[in-house]
Amino acid sequence: MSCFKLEDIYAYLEGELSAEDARRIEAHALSCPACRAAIEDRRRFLGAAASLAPIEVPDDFADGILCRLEASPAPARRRLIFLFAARSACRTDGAAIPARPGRRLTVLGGLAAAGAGAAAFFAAFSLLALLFGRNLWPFLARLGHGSVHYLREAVTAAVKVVKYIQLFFRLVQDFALAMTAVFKRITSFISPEIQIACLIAAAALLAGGILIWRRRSLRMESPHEN
Amino acid sequence: MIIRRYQQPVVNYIGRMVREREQALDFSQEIFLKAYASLASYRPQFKFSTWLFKIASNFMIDHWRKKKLSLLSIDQAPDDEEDRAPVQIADTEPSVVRQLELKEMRTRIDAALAKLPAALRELFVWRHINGFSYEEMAEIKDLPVGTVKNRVFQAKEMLRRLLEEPA
Repeated sequence: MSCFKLEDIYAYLEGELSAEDARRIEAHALSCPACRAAIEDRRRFLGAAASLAPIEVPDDFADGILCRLEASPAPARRRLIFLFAARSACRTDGAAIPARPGRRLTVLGGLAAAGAGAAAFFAAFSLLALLFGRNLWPFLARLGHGSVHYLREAVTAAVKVVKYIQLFFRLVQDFALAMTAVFKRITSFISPEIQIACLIAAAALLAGGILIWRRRSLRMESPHEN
Repeated sequence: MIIRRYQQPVVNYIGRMVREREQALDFSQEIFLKAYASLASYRPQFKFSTWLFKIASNFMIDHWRKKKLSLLSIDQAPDDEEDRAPVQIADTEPSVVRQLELKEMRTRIDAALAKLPAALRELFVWRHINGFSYEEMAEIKDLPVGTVKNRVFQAKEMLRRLLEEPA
């Protein structure tokens, strides 16, 4: 039997041959040193090629792309397709800032912020006292009196708004009652079986529409391999 | 997520083509951005990976055209005849690969890849590093499957001959 072609050797090594052809090559290799050496030679070669070290991808590779996407003027709907993963902040040049782990607002930080707020209030009060002197309290009373007047006006307006909302809901209730009466009159002419059939058909249409919309959304979000 | 799923294969491909890591990462990001901009042209009946790599391949072609490299090296492979006579194994064929340790062989293959014509290198990387089937590569390049098989075979044998050269 003549030696095999190199194409056949590669096809054998890559599993592209039928079982029968593969057996023929193996049987021939047992008795042919040249073919046996060629097979082994190319097996090691392909094994080395397939095991080449992958090129390292940095952790913020995807974040960098998402930052540039955010900066692009594309429609928001298409951006949502890519903007799924949790990501770190973006610099103005579009690069991602690596997220610093463990950065939380501590209780001590909260107390410090509250203390700073109280100190600022005390400082403002002191400044007012300095500016107005003995006239500070009458000034505050006038300010308060004016505030009470505005508050009273606001409450009056809020009560009016609540009354209008109540009127609106009463109108809606009357409309619903009228529609119910009309519906009862109509359904009295239609048999219960037909009513049930119509309800089932409407529910099926609604469910089908939701399913189709959902599948379209999912397909845009993560295209899958066919 | 799309980017995290395909970032390694794309970077592996681009990295073997441009031979420089930082540039490969930049180009890979550009490719994903182009894919995002072209999402409207994606048809779900086709594999997403082949669509993405078509964009990547066109990107590399544009890059080489801008660098004014020979179009022959980009678009064609030497000896693209499908009727070419198949190569028989010679009795005295040297077994140079056996003499090299695996680690050294990987290093030599990596270096020898740079000497392959771009068209052959691309197909070899797709087949033996990215793991694409011949049908997938034919779909990406819009070539007959037989042509793709021929070119991958040429790439493999050319690479083996380059390994015989002194390091």
